[in-house]
This record gives sequence, C-alpha cells and structure tokens, in this order.
Amino acid sequence: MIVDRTHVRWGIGTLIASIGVALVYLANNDPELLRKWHLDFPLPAWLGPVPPLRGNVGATPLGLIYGTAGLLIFIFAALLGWRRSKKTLPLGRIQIWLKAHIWLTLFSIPLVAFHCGFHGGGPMPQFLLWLYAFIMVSGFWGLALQHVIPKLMQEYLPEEVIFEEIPYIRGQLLAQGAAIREDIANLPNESIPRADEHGGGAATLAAVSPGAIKAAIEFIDGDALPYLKARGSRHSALGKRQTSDSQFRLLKLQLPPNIQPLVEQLQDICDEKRRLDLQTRLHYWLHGWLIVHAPASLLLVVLTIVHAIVAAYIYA
Amino acid sequence: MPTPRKNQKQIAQRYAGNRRYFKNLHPFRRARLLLAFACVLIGVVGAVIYLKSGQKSHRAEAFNSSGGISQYHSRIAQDCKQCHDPAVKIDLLKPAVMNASIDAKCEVCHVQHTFHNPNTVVGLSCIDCHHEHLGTGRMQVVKDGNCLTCHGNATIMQASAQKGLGLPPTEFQVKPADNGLVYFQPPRPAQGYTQVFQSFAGKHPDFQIQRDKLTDPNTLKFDHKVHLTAKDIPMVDGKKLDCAYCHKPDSRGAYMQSISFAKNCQACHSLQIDPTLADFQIPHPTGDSQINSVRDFLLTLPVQYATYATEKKGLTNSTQIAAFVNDRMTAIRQRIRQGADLEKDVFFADARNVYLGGAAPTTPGERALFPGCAYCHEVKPSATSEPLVTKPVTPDRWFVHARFDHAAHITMKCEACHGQVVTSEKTSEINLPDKASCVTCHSPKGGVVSTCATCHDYHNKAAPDSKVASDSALRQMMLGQP
Repeated sequence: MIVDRTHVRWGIGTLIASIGVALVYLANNDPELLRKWHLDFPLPAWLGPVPPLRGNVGATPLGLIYGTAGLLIFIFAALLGWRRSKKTLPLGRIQIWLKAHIWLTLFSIPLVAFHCGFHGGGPMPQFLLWLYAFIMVSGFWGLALQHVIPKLMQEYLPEEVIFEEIPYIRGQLLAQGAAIREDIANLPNESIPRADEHGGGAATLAAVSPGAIKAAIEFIDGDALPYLKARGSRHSALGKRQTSDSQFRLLKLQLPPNIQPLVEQLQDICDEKRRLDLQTRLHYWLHGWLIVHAPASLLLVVLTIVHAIVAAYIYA
Repeated sequence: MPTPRKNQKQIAQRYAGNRRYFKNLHPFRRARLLLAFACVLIGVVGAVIYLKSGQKSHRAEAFNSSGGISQYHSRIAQDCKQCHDPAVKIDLLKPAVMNASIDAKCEVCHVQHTFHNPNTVVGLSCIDCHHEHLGTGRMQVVKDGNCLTCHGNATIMQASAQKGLGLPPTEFQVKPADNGLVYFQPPRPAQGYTQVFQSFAGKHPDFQIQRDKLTDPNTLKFDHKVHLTAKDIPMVDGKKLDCAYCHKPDSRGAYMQSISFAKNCQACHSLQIDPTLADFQIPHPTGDSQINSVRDFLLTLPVQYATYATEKKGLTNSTQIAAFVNDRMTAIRQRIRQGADLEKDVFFADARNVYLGGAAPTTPGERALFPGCAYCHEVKPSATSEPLVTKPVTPDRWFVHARFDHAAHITMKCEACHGQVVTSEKTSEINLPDKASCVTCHSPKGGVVSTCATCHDYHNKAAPDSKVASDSALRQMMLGQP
C-alpha cells in the first residue's frame, strides 16, 4: 500500500482523533495544564473524579475506554489477513481495509500511551508494550519497503511472474538447460549441426572440434546446470550479470559460430533464472517482515485479551 | 524501465503445467501461517497455564503485576495474597471490585489508622490515595488531587457540611494521643471544615486561630513583651533572656518541649519566702496530689523551720533548733499578725510588694523573692477551704489538624513567624503565624512546597504526636529496619 493523496483524509482524521484523545486525557488527568492553555472543558460525570483517584491510569474509566479502543483496533488490524483471504466477501474494499489498518494502528499509539499513563507496569504489561512496539516498528518498516520495492521491481523485473510459480518455472529452465546440454553433447564431430528445435535460428554449416564441445559441456555441467538447479546462487559467477556475460563471452570465443546460438539460448535461460532469483529476493524483502509482523500481531491480540481479563476480573 | 521481451500471454504460457499452484502454499506463506498458529497457540496455552496456576504460583502472579511494589511493602512483595484476596475467582459476568478486600488487608497492619472525619460523604478506599505497583522505590506521595476531589468540589463540601450538622460534636472531637501533651481544642465551626478551595495559596481558609480570633484559655499570667524587652529583666546564665531559653526543641526538633516552672521560671521567679534563708522555699505544686501542699506548708511553718534546721543547717541540739524556729517565727510575726493574713499574702499577693519577714530588695538586679501565687496564677477565694489556684494548662500543640516541623524551619529566626510576641502582653494572645505568613514561602511564588500533605494527614483524627514518632524511629534504628 502506497501512502498517497488518497490517504490525506485518513491522516487528518487520525491527527484530529489523536489530539482529541490527548485533550480528553489531559482534561481528566491534568486539568491544571489545560487551564493554563485556556483549553479546559468539563468531562461527563461518569468518567469519575478529576483528576482520577487511582494512580493506575489504565484502571480509570477513561483508561479503560482507551484500552478497550486499543484492543478493538488490534483485533481489527489482525483481521486484515483473514479479509485478504476472503476477497469476495462484501465487507468493503480491501484498499479501505488497508488504509484503516495503517491509520487506525497509528491512532492506537496515543490510545496505548494514555491507557498505560506512560508507565510500563509489571512484566506482563511491559512485555505487551515491547511486543506492541516491535509490531509497530515492523509495520512501519513494511510500509516503508512498500514504497521502495515495487519501484525496484518495475525497474529490474519487466517480466515479473507469479511468485508461487517461480519454483515451477525454475524447473522448466533447468529442463531447457539440460536439453541444450544434450544437443551440444550429441553434435557429431566435424559434422554439420542440425537445425535445432529450440528456436536457435537457422542451422549453420561449420565443423565442430571435439575440444570445443568438451569445453561447452564442462561449462554447462560445472556452472550452468548447478546454477539453474539452485534456488538462489548469488555467489555463483552466473548469479551476477557482469560475470555471467563474461563467462558466456569467453565460452563463445572458444566455440565455432555454429554452436553459439545454442549457447546464447543457454545464456537467456540463465538470465531469466537470475531475474527469478532477484524477484524472489525482492519478494522476501517486500513481504518478509510479515513473517514476524503478522504472527506477533496475533500474539499481541491474544495476550491483550488475557491482560484485559486478568486486569479487569482478577486484579481489579 | 526495460521493455519486456515477452508479453503477458507468453509469460502466462509458462504456467501451463502448473495452473493450480494456489492450491499448494508456498513455503514462505506456509512458514508465516505456521508461525501465526504457533503464536496464537503459545498465547492461549500460556494464558490457560497462567490462569490455572495464578492462585498457586507467586511468579505467575508477579508476571501480570502492573508494576513493582514500593520499598515499604517489599517484604510482602512476593506474596500477592497479603493484599489480594485469593478467594476472588474469575467471574466474567460479575467483575470483582476488590477495594474493600484490599482495604481490609491494609488494616491488618495499619491498625492505628482512622479514616478522616465522620462527615465524609465520599467513600474512599486506601488504594484511592496510596498507589502501589508503581515501582520499587518510595511510595508515591498522595497528590493534592486526591484531597481536592472533595475539598475542591462545592457539591461534596455542601453535602459534607449538611451531614456534619446532623452529627453530635463529640464525633469530631480530636482525641489526643496518650502522651501527656496538651492539645489546643478549637471549637468546630458550624459548617465544619468545608470551605471549597484549590490550593493553599488560593482559597485555603485562614487558620482558625486568627480567623475566629481564638484565645489561649490558659489562666497563667505571662507577658512575652516584658520578658523579651523590659530592661530590668535580669540576665540568666549570663545571657539576655530570649525565645530559646524557654522554648527548647524536643528530641525530633519538630515541636517545642513543654514549659514547666522548674525548668523555665524558677531561675528568676524564686519561691523563697524567708529573705534570710535562700533555700527555704514554699513548695510549688506540680500535680493534683500536691494541691494542698502550700497550705499544709504554711500551717506547719514551725515544723518546716525545724526540719530546715535539722537537714540544711545540721543542728541536732533540740534547744538550738527551738531557738532557730523561734527566731524565724518571731520575724514573721513582726509583719504578719495572724495565720490567716500569712495565707492571704502568700496566695493573693500579685506584685513584688509583699515580702514576708523582711524589706523589699533595693537593687534592681537582685533576685525577687516569692511575690505571691496570684502574681502568676489565677487564685480564687474559698470560704471553707484554702484559696483555689487554677491549674495552668499550657497547650503543647496548637494546630490539631495540621503538622509542623520547627526543624525544617531552623534557618529562620523565631521572630520571622512569631514577630508579634514582642508586643504580646497577655497570655490569651496566641502568637502563632497566620496563613499569609506561611504563604510567603509555601506557595508557587515562594517556591516552597505547599501540597496538602505538607501539613495535613488524611488519617489525622489523633493529634500530631512527635513522641510516638520518635519512639518508632528509635525502634526501627535498634531493629535495623529501614
């Protein structure tokens, strides 16, 4: 989700809501400060004494309201994954859910801070706060990546494929590489190569020396096929464009022109494999934070519910 | 951006053999799902284990604690049951309000506390003001906001005043601590102490002593002005008489020691009734048991002289003792015609113009002889028995609803607060500073703390008692407790 002009209303709404809850918090806990700013206003009687008698802000009526609102936002935010898996449900557009996810969780920061009264508390509340902080930081990190990675993918991956198809396509590429290897290996010595079925262009009449074929096979077996078989292989010479081009250029210098179309086919296959690897890597960057963000969010929801039950019903 | 070499249709053809890819989760998505499931499982299982073991394991309880226990309660910090009643079970439909049970636990140790005045209309719990679980250091001091919840609220104060009107005055009587100290007992205002205010420097009422122009009921005649400014006041121990000669701090320095005749007056105000015998003195009753000792002394004057001759002069011969007694009695009879006149002079003389058995001193600096009881005391005649000397009662504590610490004000001179003493001629004048004097420093402008707790205790039905506090401090020191 890119934060663009369509988010302006959400941003303003979140800012106003944050200022509102801050003013109510101050009116409830530090009315003197608001009086100095000439911003004091009466609060409804059901919010209890002003300032509250209890030192633990979270246990005051206003603290409980903020805490409950924060918990509801947590639950809503955690439901985003479920909503995305149920795209056809008539529950509003997913884009709206995403915007609400971003801005409501941002709004939860003042709610949580005011709920706990800027006080860490015991181990459990502290753990919740640290978990919450971790989730928020990972969320901001993910949001920032979503502004960067898609642009990189547009620039470097014009032929982006479906991420889940990458292992399947990699297998296809490996099979094509193996077929090219067989073609080269089966070339008769000092013979004219037949026109290949891989689209390598018109057959060329030329003699092929056994040494050249051996060099090509060694390169394919030693470098190309292992590279195509491996998942990442950033450390392979073929995993980088410059070194890959050099390798193929050297190979082609050793081979007669009539074999070079096969080698160029192989180079195209390796280039595609490299793009798949880059797509995989960028995909992990783009979505990798979710592997901690989403589970941690669920854990936060569960533990916050436990915290609410324990605080409200056991140690009230 | 590079131009794609394949269009989307060509790219899509690559998926021809794997179009149901979405049926099988990618390892990345599978890992995320498993982690999410594990987190939920861990959370739920952890919660169940915690709730099951919470009543047994202190560690589990402490884990959910909303903060550390203050140092004063550190000895019970690991035992939650000391404050939280384990009998309270989870009942989602009936939230447990545990204030009452926690209050009961507080009172197990804090038995001496009483809870404010009987006209309180807002039921407060201990934990409303004394907040725990806010860290392991000192317990947070009670904030003014707690007091102003009622004292800053006109509706509550009005209700409190109304409630107070229906209660007997004895309900509000300050019960002094059993420490031998005398507490000034101001009359309770009709509306009680229900003036609405927000701060000490603001509308906090003036001190009742000045506001209601209360007077010292002590019948002892004492003139501060004379003692501090008169030129004929003799030197004591080589020094000019000053405040500190009589007003000495107690062991804590918070209050002054009680004034007594023996300690503070006798050095100047002699009880010597025979000008020739410096150590032949009339008794000064110090308690109810000695109330008749003066008259007894006068009735047995010959015996007293005989005892003096034996004990002080060392005479053993009865003839010599009789001669000594006869000599002194003759001297008295030269001035006093009969016993009744002697008794009248001793009790009712109120100036230094009566000198039994001799002439008045002529030297200004000479110690005065006994001038008569009425010189200092209120003496009432009685037709049937000896004259009645009203027992003087000098208050040791003037503010029964507030604390004061002289030691905290040690850098100030006495006259900075008690400046009016140099013009005070009557005992009835209470020479205490007024609120404005305190506000000079104790205000935001003055820069010195001016919270409610600076002077007042919520649990202040028993008057301030430095003796108890010093005993407690001594006990703590001996036991090595903090």
